[in-house]
Amino acid sequence: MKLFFNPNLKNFSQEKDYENNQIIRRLFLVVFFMTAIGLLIFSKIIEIAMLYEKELVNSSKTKTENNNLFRGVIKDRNGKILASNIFKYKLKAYPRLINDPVLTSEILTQQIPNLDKRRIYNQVSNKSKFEVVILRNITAKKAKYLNSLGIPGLEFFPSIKRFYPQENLTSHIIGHTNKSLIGVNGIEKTFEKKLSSGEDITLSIDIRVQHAIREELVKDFLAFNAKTATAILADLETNEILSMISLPDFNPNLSINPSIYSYRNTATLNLYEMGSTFKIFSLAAGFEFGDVHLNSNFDVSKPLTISRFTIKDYHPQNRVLNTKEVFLKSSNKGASLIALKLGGNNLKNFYSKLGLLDYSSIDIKEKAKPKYPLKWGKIETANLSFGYGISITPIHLVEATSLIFGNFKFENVNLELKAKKRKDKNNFISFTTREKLLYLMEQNVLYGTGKNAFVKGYGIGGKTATAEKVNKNLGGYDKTKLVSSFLSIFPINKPKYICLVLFDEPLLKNTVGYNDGATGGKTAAKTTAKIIKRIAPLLGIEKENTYEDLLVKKGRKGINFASF
Amino acid sequence: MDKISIYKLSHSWIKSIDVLNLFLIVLLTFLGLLFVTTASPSVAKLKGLDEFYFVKKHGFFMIISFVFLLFFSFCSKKVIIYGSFFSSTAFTILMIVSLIQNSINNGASRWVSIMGYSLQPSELLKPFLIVILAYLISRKKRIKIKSFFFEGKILALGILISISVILIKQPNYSMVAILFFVLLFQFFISGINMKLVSSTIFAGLIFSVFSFYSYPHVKNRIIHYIFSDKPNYQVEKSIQAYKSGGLFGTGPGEGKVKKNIPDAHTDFIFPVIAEEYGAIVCILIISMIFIIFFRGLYRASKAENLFSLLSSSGLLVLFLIQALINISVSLKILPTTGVTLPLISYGGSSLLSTGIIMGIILALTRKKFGTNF
Repeated sequence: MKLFFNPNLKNFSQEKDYENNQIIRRLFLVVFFMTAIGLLIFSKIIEIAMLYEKELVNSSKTKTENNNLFRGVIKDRNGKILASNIFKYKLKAYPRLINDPVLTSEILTQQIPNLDKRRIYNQVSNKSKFEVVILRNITAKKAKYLNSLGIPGLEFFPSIKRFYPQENLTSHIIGHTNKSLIGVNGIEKTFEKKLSSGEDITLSIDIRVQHAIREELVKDFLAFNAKTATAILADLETNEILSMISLPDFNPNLSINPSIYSYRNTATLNLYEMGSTFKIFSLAAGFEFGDVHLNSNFDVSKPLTISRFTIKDYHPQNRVLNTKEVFLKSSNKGASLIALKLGGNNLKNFYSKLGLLDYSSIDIKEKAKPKYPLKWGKIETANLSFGYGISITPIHLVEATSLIFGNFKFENVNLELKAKKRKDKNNFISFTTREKLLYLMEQNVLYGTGKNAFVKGYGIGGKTATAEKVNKNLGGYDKTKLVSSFLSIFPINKPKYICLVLFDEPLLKNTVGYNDGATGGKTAAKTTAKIIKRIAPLLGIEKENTYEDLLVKKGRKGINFASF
Repeated sequence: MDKISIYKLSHSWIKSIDVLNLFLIVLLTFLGLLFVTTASPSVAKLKGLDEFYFVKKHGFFMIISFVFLLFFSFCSKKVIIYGSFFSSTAFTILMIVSLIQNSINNGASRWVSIMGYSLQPSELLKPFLIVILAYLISRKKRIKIKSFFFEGKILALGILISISVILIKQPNYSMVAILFFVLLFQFFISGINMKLVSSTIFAGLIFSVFSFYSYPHVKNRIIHYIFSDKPNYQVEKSIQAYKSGGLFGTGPGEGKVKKNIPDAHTDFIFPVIAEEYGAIVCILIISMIFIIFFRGLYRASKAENLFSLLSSSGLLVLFLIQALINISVSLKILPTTGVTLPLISYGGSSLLSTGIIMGIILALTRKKFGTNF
């Protein structure tokens, strides 16, 4: 260890010159090696930097081609603006430039209502801050006026904001953007690429119809004290959505809290066991593949028990029913018998073709996948025939219905307006089956469970549905919580529109936790009648006037012919 | 000391010292302060600190490292050797202490906290360790420890391996690799003994294989680097910064990509320079680093003994290889390591270590009377 602390360094001069030369030669080798690495790094830096110069040139060309300064505008089918851009101003103050904070805060509070004078004074007089924000979201007009007052030390900063003139009316369809103008919901998200590159989007929505439906729906939504409500109106010829409403909704112009319940688009996201509207589909399958006719008989007097489950009817009939009566009385037993005759596999194939087992084809990002049993045994098949055991979204129901009743070959449900001419006739099911189903639906509104949907002068066909919701705590179905809906097609003699109205947990007498019979017929069918009455003129559907309608009774004096 | 002797001392110091290298070192350090000033505010804001927190700290450590540089540049060889033995023992003990202390605290074990500042003892050990390695290699006589004789080179290798064990425990693989590289260089310069060189390479290989399989983050980084098209976030942003800067840069303080680089003030300061000052300034800075290296090596080659040559050139290689590794990482040539850019990057330990390295290099390359440069 002694040697460690006794450095005795020999100089080169005591050694041979030969070794010194060797060392210098080796040093040169190292220098060459290091220089090579250095040159490699040089070339890499230059390469990356030059690469960008090229990219810059290319991108500047594309920038001049489409002016993407402004996000694209969203319009309805008639060109009404649903989403556009406006300038909003942010007011900043520079405390170091303000000599008289008292006067400044005084003037500002006089000019701008609801401004806390004390806060402004504190902000403006705080000389340690370089800049402070006084107010955000000032309109251009107001900003111009405030600027003209010439208060020193204030400055306005413009920023582009998204503006939704229809507010709540289009909240779920259009969605909204975040602060950096990127779509986070609805159409704004789905068509983000197009919109951000400055392209406008035209939707198939008719804002007049949307407004009329929403107004009627909101009235009943409040009257029935429902949890949520949904209404969808679709065109059977083009498979376009004319109106889609989900209640409760929100105002996209205000700041948005994603955790609130109304943020959810129930029309495309909420999964429900729909109930009896599925009888349309099971009957369609029966007519097509199951050798079922309008006058086929089904004995529903005996209790129908499969393994340990018993199927019950909402309106019990202790007799033999034919197919028409099964539909009109909405008999679960009858539908089960048809489905059992058909077999589980056939039913599954048919539902699958209807698109009930996969995501909807609608062009909006918020979608939900249906829930259904993996194995379709006897009890499952019986349940599925009347819409239990399978959870779908309202848009699924509309899509499946337009597959069956559409006038042209179905492609997909869309919200974006597409100017395309369709030629192929719809051959999803045979013509006779379609006519039979339409006949049943018309009869249902005239004499069956859907009587409340009857509107004089407009031929309407429809099917009610009342489904009990699953209560996980109870471990079964909860009779006090219903999903009531009504699916209608009108005008029935020349089908053009589908309308679905759905209430989640509606109540007739406003008593929570008690089943007061808020069935589809008593809730959604009534609402549908009101809606059709209002929108038929907007849609240009002719009213079928009878002779009596043309007579206008005028007091006691007698009868006048209004048209003459 | 009276005034005249101080004057004499400083006069002889300035006459014998490598003025060009000193000037370049000071220039690069001040440029480093400028770069940290533009790069660190966004990082400080992210961490919720005062905007100029890092700048103030950097300035403080800069002054201390200048003091170190001056102190070491005045030292004679003997003082340097004694000092190196003393400090490397001290820092090795500190490293072990930090290992034990942090295995209890369950934290990153590179750091030890002294008087409110967290220091990286391994960073400070580096220059002294290389001086010791140079001393051991330069000894022609065998060294007697108790009744055993050791050849200096083997002893050097043994010391480095035992230090590496501690470094791997930390874990700090990049430093192990750098130290082995420097040792290899020193062996090469002192005259190749093929057995020793191959055993050094073999030891290095074993360490790298061991580290590859035993520590998942090393494995991940290397596999990520070799097989993935998508580099990790920082490297991607770093390349973006080079692109955004182009040849002439966006201008001081105008960089935008830099705000997205979490380590913009330490390991990834070079892309910030590239973005704001352009590729040409980057090349100038690398050139300056190379000039310091070449100039130092030139003066080292005139050294009067093997020890001065080995230690000064070893330290120069250490300095250069750190800079090159740092820049290569930011250019996606090498996988991500924790190596800072000497003289420029923010970091107290890194600055102090660089100050010591430069001080020793300047001291060992001082002009001797009678030698003609």
